[in-house]
Amino acid sequence: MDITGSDLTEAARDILTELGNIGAGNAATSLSVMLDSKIKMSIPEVKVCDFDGLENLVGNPEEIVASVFSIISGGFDAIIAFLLTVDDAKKFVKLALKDDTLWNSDMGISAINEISNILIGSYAAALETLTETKIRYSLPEACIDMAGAVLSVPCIEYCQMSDKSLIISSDLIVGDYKIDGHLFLISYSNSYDILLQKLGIGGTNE
Amino acid sequence: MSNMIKVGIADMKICQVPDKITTIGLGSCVGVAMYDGITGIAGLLHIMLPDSTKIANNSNKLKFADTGIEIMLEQLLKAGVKRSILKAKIAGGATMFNYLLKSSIGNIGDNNVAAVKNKLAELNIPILAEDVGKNFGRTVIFDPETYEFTIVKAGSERYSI
Repeated sequence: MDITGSDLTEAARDILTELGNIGAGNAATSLSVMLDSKIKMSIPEVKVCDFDGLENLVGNPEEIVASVFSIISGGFDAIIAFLLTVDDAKKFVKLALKDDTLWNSDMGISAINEISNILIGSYAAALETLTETKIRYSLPEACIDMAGAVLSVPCIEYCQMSDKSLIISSDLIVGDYKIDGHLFLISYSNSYDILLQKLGIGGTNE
Repeated sequence: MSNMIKVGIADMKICQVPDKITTIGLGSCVGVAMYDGITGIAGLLHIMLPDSTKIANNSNKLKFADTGIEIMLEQLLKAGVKRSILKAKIAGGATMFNYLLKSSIGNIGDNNVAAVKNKLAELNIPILAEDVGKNFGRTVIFDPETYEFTIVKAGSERYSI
């Protein structure tokens, strides 16, 4: 499995990192306002890997995660995903609803969904500005289950088109509460070539 | 010493007593265990999609129910299983998200399960047990000694079929 992303040019890698920076930066700003807390953001990691590498995105594929997915369409295809471990999801819901027993209830999931909706919307707005393309994003949907099982969803969708996926990952850390949220933009090879063209750069060195 | 053999996504492996064989985090994918109940040899396949003939990007034959099951059968026969008494147990094919991706690929979990059942019926391999559909992920472990197919759900609830 190639997770080094060696088939992206240096320039392509730079611009995708910048895209991740602005997208996740926008999302972090919204989250900061919403939670009234400082948000730290990691430098985005850009990688190209085989689809079977997707299930390891948050470490152990058997780890239970709260995940929210939204489909980006219009010009190019991508999925924006927000993933939290169970412990972080509990803290997250506690912060939003002032009650951590609710995290796996309809209320808790709805809170995670709502916050993710705003994160994903902010990320998508950055994508739209940078690519100068009108994009649409689907209503985010949440699922709490094993990481491998939820991540198999984009895997199945995109492996029909290509065997290579592009992943831009950024971590958002809610400073005061040490909540580590993982924000991902996932796409597949033909589609991220279009994305790169829209960003004004050629694709991969194949 | 018994080993746990791991099968990845769009992957298949053969194992023999005393080893066991597992695949982790089946969502809409389906895990197909095949064994004859005599030789102690079993195969486990982890498919992602129903039909290789409908997808242009089909070079990995283990990704699909139709071609994946054929390859597993071939490998099992090479390993020495008895074709006439082969049987299967299947698990997976969940619907992880209700609305997401509905329009483009329909209910992929249900389609995967149907495709696996069709292919096994075509090959005359009976399904002795199944745990399919619903809305949760599954890790599965097959023990070729007891023929137990153990399903582990998120949060560690487990049962055997």
